[in-house]
Formats: sequence, structure tokens, C-alpha cells
Amino acid sequence: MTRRLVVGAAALVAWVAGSVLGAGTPGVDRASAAPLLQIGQAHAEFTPVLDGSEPVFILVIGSDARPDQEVAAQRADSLHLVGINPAKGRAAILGFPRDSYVPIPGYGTDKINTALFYGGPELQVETIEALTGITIDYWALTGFEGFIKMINDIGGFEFEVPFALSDTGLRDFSEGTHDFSGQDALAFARNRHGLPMGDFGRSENQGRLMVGLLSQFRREFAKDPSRVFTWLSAGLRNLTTDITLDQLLSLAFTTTGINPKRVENVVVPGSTGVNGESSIVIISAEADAIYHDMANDGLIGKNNIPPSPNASLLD
Amino acid sequence: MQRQNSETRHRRRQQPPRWIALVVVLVLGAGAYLLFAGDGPAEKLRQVIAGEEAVPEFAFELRKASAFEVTEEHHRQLNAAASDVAADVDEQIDLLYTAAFLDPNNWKEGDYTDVWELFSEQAATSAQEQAEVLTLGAGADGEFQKVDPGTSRLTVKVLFDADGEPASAVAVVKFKAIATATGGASATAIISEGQYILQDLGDGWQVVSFDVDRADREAAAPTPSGSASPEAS
Repeated sequence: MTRRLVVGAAALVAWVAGSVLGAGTPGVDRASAAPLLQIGQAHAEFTPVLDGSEPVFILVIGSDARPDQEVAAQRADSLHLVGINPAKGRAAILGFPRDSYVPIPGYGTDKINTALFYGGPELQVETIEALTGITIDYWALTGFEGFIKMINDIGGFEFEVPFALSDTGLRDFSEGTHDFSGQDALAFARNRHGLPMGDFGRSENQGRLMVGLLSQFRREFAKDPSRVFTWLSAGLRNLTTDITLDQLLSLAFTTTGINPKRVENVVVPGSTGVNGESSIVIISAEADAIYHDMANDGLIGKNNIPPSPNASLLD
Repeated sequence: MQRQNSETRHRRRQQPPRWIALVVVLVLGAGAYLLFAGDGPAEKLRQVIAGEEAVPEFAFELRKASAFEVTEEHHRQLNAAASDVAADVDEQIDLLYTAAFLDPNNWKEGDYTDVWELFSEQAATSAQEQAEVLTLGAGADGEFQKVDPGTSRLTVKVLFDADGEPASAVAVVKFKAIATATGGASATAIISEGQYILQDLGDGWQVVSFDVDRADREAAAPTPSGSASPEAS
């Protein structure tokens, strides 16, 4: 028994000493281990997209504020309600012509874009909510300067111009793929004189830019997920929004699951008219079916999608 | 022969010399001290007694920390803050890779519970389904006899909110290790590269998103005197 204790104790001492000494010596030989043959390759990924069936609605507002003007105190020249259905991985963009003549809560009936001037983004949201019956979750607002900087901060993007376009005072675009800078994107977004239905077509083209940006973001995220930080910081530096950074991160992840080809880009149907000396747009009754569709699941049913205002150019 | 046996039996009946008892007491005392002291050899001693195996020491080499900001106001402070966040993220990623590829108590059992605790709940579910890429794998025990860490590198990008608080971080990793096959005749270079997006969800930094490639390669067989080199870089 005693001998066993002694042997055990000696082993313990040797082990402890060996461990202490061993800790200070290199554990392995420095043999060459240059790769000889690839024997296995695999990939793992996960992006935490929202998966709820409740749609998310965001009002994207483009103010006509020029540099040095207060963005939220001007008129909204670009208005798009974006509905995202995370569960279906789909989205819809509904554009409103800036001259749409609608009730503005507390201000009678006026052009839809004056709501921003009267009461900032909150009143603009209230106006669209009253018009459509859709509860809007978030808003995001930018002006000319912010829009240009935002696009330039992400390094521009590749955009497919669907038809040749020219507009006196802005610039011409040929049909096909272009690398858009912020200035290019703004010129394309403002172009309406070369379009058969003027502001209706322009609103659709602005939606096209959003889809183009979605495509670019998905491509970049697939190559390098950390690009999401570049996009978020570029966006938040040049936007005003009520979306928190955490929510925006979550939405950014969610958009990676949306196929741009499955985004409906629609402009509310209507006709042009005159109120006094001012030209206005009267939204047609068919728009109600679009609002109803979107309120349900954020999307627009095929049966309720009106013809493209640029249809004659797309043929 | 008989006489020798008789003498042996005689010695056994005698009291052991006092110096032996003294040595035993000293050794046991030293062992007990080291056992409860907590570090180094004590930890290894505890592991042996508990039936655990020693875990190779490992840490990523943090190459760069950069800040992404949503305003222009905090620029100088944020670069310094990004380094602090990067250190925390580095620690988590060290733990993740140690538990996923290096700790024999995990890979010999095919049990990577420690790894999934470093992921958010949603990400953990998906990660477990892709465990063969994110860990040494369920069948590693039959395949390997030891795994040695190699030079591994990490860069961290930190996104700060408008108040200058860290909102999220991306860890871009390049991990290497050498796994010696059972029997020691061959070795595999384990290479894991990719990105982990982390957020502080109230209980420290956790992985919320990942995009990771695993590309194992045949490595040089171990030398007769030891294992293969982890210096596969």
C-alpha cells in the first residue's frame, strides 16, 4: 500500500513537473505543412431575416430641398410607400405622383407633396395613412444633396436603364447597363420631360432606382456581408428617419431575402387636371383595390396592377 | 530464493521510514494547492482528475479594428472605441473557435454545446444544422487523434450608433489548425474563413449572422518526433 502511495506520489510529482516544464516548450515540431490536396470544401451561412407574416411599411420621402435648405420643411417631390412581406420574401413599391390632390389632415385638400411643408414627415405619413388606410411603420427622408452623397458613399451602383431617356436641363441616358454615381441617379430620378406620362413615369423610374439599389445591395452582401455596415452608415449619414439602427440592421438583413424580380413597382393610377392655375393629379378609384391589397400583406395582387406609365417606351 | 522472499516479507512488516511519509504529505499538499490554485498545471490536474483533456491554448491575431459611424461627430473617439470593442469580439471568437475545433473534450464527444451558446437563439438553431462546417464535426473522434492551432487572423469592423455606442460588429476570420489523423500517419489542415456578425443582445456579444467557408486540405504528415506543424500559413 505504502509502495503504491510512493509510486503514485512520484508520478504526480513527475506529471506536475512535466506539465510546468512542458508549458514553456514548443508543443509541436515545425515541419512543413503546405497544403497538398484539397479534401473538403463546404459553406455555412445564416442571415436573420424577419419571418413574420405581418408586412412592414416604410414611407420613403424625397424632399425637393436644395443644398442649405431644411429637408423636412420643403415639398415632397418623391413619395413611395414600400411594403415588405418578410414571410414571402417579396415587396411592393407604390409611388404617388407629387401633384396628387388629396385630403391633408388639418389642412383641407391640397397637393400631396405639401404635407411635408405643412407638418414634416409625420404629417406626410398621416396623409398617406388617411389616403390608403395603411398604417405606416417607419419613414425615411432625404433631399437632393443627401441622395447624391448616399449613393456616392456606397461607391455608386450598377443600374439597368430600361429605355433611352433625355431631358433638357438634366442629362440623357442610353438604354442598357450603367454605373451610376449619385449625380447620375439623381438626374435619372428627376427626369420627367422625356416620359410620356410625365410625373407618373418619373415616379415609376424612382421605384426602379430602389429595385436597382436592392439588387446591388444583395450582390454586395453575398460577396461580403460586412458591406451592410457601409450601406447603413452611408444611409444614416444622409437620411433622416425614425427607424432605429437595430431596426434598420434587421430590415437590411431582411432585404437580402427579397428577390428584386419579385418586387412590384407600381404608381397609383390617376389622371391629370387643373385646380385654378395649378396642374393636379386626380387619383382614380382603382387605387382603392391596390391600397386594400397592400394593407393585407404588403403586396399588390397581379389583377390590381395598373399598366406601366412608361409602357410605350418599354415595348 | 526462499531466503530472499523471507527477507522481503520481513521488510513489509516493518514500519515505513518517516521520510517516505513526509514526502507523501508534501506531494499531496503541493498537489492539493495546485489543484485549487486555478491556473496552469492546476487546471490540467483538475482536468485529469475530472477525466477531461487539456485544451490547446489559442488566440486569433487581431490585425485591425475599424469604426463605421452614422454621424460625422464622433470620428476620433470612435476609432479608439472600435479597438476596445474589437478586443471583446476577439475574445468571443477565440472562445468560439477553441470550442468548435480545438477542445478535445468537445470534438471527442461530438458535443459542441459550448459553441452554440455563443450564438443568438435564432442563429444557434441554424448553426447547429451546419455544424459540420462550423465545428470539427460529429465524427472527428474517429478521424483525428489531436488538433493543434495554427496562425489565425482576425479583423473587426464596428458599427456605432448616433450616440457613439457600438451597435454591431463584424469579425472577419481566417482560422487554421492541423488535425493529426488517428494513427498519426497523415494530417489535415483545417481552414475556416468567413465573417461573423455580432450584436450585444444584453448578455455580451453574440453571433447573429454568419457566412463561413470551410476548406480542408491534406497537410504534411507528422514527423516521427511529434505532430505536424500548425504553421500552414
